[in-house]
Amino acid sequence: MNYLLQLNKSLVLIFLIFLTIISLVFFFVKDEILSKSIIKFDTISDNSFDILNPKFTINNANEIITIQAEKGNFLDNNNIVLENNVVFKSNKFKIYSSKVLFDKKNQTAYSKKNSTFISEGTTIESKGFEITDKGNIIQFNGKTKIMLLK
Amino acid sequence: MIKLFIIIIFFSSSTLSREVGQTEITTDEGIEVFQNEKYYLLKNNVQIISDDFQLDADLVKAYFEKNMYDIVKIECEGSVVLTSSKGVIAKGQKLNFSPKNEDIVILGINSSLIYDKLNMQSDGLIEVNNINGKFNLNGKNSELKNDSIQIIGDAIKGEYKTINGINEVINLIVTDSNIANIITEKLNMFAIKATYFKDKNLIELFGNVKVITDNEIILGDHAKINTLTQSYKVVSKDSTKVKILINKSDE
Repeated sequence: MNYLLQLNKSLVLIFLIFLTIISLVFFFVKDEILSKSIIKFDTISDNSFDILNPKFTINNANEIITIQAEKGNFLDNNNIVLENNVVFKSNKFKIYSSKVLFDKKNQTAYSKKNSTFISEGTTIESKGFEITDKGNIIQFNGKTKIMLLK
Repeated sequence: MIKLFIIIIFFSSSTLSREVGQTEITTDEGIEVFQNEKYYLLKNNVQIISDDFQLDADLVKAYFEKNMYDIVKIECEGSVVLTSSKGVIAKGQKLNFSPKNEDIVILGINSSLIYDKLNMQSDGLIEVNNINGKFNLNGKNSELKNDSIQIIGDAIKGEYKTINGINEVINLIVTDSNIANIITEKLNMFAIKATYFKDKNLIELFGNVKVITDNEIILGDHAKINTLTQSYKVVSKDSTKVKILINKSDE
């Protein structure tokens, strides 16, 4: 006798549906878990934000860099995407950008958007920037133009 | 037409363009500023254009005094070409340059510096200070030449001065572990060491001296050559040692 014919068809169907749902849930959850460490700050919607006019600071032995923007979105406890008129300001320089990822804990900042650095006698235009080492190191990325005034 | 005008206005206002007194720097892979250490790194296909000079290199490290514009020293690597408004063309694998002191150091194989009619080459080091005119060439294939003289040696040290708009070597010390070579219009001279003083119109040769003219070769230990008259005197510690070889065709 064929044992397969003895199985309840509806039970098999329910089992298959259940298996499909589990697979789908696993697929989406897995994707979410894997992408958690990668900050996808470009995918943040322009229409929503967590904080209005956020303000932060980066402190080092020589200067305090204040960071201001019109909008801020928390990616997690430490990482905030700052948008619209983002300005980094210290007593030595200012950096303007439209979108910056700021890490509160590590006191770092990163932007892929066009950025302008202005300090006394110096203007830098770049395709983004990165601030590390509590503001001591500023890296301007991509094709960059620097204008020095005497 | 109006659209075209707007586009032109937009692009002309959104990009920085150099004016007199400004220095423009462009890079393909950005700039890294180290605020505490007071220097910045310019990366890949770097070009610096100022009123005084143009510099092209693969990597540039610029040290500044207080602000970024206040550059005191530039260190460059990779296909470096420096052209100054005064007419200096310097090329090499590595080049260090102090804009304020006008001090240029070129390092590596095929280093060269051309300033007007002065042409310096070396596979080691070329160092020139454009303010005091002192220069130093060191290493293999070091060579200094202008329209009237060619000097080849491991170490060439000297000083030049701009006289009536022409850069002229005013003094020179040349040494070579094997043999140094000085070539003028009429003389081909060899020695371990050679000196030149323009005010005395004198070239002196020391050790393993050989002076070649059109029709004779003179060997000795020491020689004095008058650069105006091209007359020369070769002596030896042992006076019998001076040897003159006369060209057969003139015998």
